[in-house]
Amino acid sequence: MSYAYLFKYIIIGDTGVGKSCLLLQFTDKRFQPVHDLTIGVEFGARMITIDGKQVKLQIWDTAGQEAFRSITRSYYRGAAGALLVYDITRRDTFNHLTTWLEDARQHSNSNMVIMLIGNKSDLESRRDVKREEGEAFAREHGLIFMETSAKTAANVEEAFINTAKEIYEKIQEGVFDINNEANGIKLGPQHSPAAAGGMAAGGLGGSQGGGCC
Amino acid sequence: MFGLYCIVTLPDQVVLVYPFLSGRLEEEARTDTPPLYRAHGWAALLRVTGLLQSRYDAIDKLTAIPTDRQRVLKAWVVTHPQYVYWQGLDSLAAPLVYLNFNNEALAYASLSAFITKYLHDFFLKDNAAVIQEYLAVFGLLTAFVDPLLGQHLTQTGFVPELYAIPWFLTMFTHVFPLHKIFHLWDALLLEDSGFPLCVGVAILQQLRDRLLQFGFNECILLFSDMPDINMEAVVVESLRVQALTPRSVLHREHAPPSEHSRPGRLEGPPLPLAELRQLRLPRLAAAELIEWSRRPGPSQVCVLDVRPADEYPFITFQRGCFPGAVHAPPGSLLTEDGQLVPGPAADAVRAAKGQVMCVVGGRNAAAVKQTSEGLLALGFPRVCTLHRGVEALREAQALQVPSS
Repeated sequence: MSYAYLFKYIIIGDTGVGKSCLLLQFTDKRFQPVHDLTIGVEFGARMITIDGKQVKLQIWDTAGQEAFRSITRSYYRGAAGALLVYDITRRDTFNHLTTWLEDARQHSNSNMVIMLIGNKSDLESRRDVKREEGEAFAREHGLIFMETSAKTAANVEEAFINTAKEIYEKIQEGVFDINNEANGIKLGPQHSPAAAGGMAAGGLGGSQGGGCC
Repeated sequence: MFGLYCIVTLPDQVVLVYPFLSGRLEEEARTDTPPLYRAHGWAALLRVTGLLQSRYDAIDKLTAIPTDRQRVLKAWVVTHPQYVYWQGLDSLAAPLVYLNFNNEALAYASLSAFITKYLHDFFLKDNAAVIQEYLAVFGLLTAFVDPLLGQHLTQTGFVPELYAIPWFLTMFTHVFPLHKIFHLWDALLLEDSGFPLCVGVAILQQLRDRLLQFGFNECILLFSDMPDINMEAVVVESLRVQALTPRSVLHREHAPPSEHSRPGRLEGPPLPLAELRQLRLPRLAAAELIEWSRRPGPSQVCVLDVRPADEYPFITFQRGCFPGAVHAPPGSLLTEDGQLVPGPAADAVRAAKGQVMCVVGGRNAAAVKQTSEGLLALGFPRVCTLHRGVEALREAQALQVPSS
């Protein structure tokens, strides 16, 4: 299916916080309680609609294990958006956010939109990190914040789509140079920059249904 | 295969010994590995030996450690303090734990021996240099075997870092179901640590038609959900690739120490990783060039000497060239835009297409690069450059002064 824009996303965060499950929930609308550990990087894709335009999200799901860090750094390059994920039931994953953020800022382009995700919100009884703490961290570092559950799908759509909207707005404001692929944004094959501005139909749309492309 | 090893059971001990010459074992295993004997056959191929049970029993598998794992994995982590647990080690252990379900000691010993042989230093805490070298050599082998595919993948940006880490770090166990792994490892265990690179190329070749049509997006998604692979064909192709490939093409500084003395090692100071990653084509050791050129039967190598005329034997005191070498100084073989210049050098190269094509240079490194990469771009397979150039041949006393 043709698209107006393609955005490259990267999902980062400690091992076991649910990065791959978030991706699977977003691309396939399902949850796998026992998920294979990611080695290196895995990929997912899904089409969404923003401002009446087809936007393809190309998502790079990275291995969280620290040992992989020196290899995963090369994956940051050319990402337009990042989901920085921690697990609300494990404080250590929250404590490591600063390191992740430094890594991301250092190895990506400065305009990359970063969304902070506190995952596993369904496990309220085992909560170890208060929502307010996540909010405060996000405020302090200029991130968007959301709590999600890859298991119940709560806020999963929103996390990916809101990040995309933010990127889209930055494009409209001219912050991103869409002709430079190093920014993680690519124009679709049939969409020259001139054509991309036309035919707006409806406001910011939601999902275009599951499945990838 | 059975009968070539014995299991001696003493009270509380399992001792694996090999009463027959090990060569017999390889020979038998090459024909067939009956599933019933696979666990012990593999252990024998891995030279697992000794008092396995008491050794295993002595390992502390109960004290909690931060990264707690199943017993076999934990035993490996505890007994290899220089290494760390990497995601993927569980997949790697799976075939061995499955085969030795009732014999953890043998599973552990086989896993240890397997990692020592095939994944030397892959589980270092910082293994970036090891993995990146492995992937760089894999890229070079791909270009060597299948220039069209290799270049397409490079140009698309679909680099091995994006798909091949789980292949090699888990020796394919993360990407294929167990029954296919058994078939693959039956063959793999008979070869050395360079063979998995040939397996990787064989997998790419099986998907060749699709990969050649695909751009970056399609490629990454294709490999995220590995398509069905005919493993029998992969094994056959891997062995073919290995047979066609001089050992030095697979040279790695991080190869296991047990392989350091084998033929095909590139002598001299190692190429820094950053430079290795810049190479488009592998290097050939002079000793191997000489050995391949002397093989009986039809010619297997074509040597292209790209030294300019003033470096060539007729004029300077640095006399001599490799017997049978085609003289192809800059400009004589390839035009500026990379086409073959009609003439004797082009005729010789065309006639030798398919042979190992080794570009030999002198002081001018640019000429070597230009000629070898030019031939690659034209789709010539098995192109490589001579490691350390003509000097290496001179040291090996392999240069001759042309008689005319």
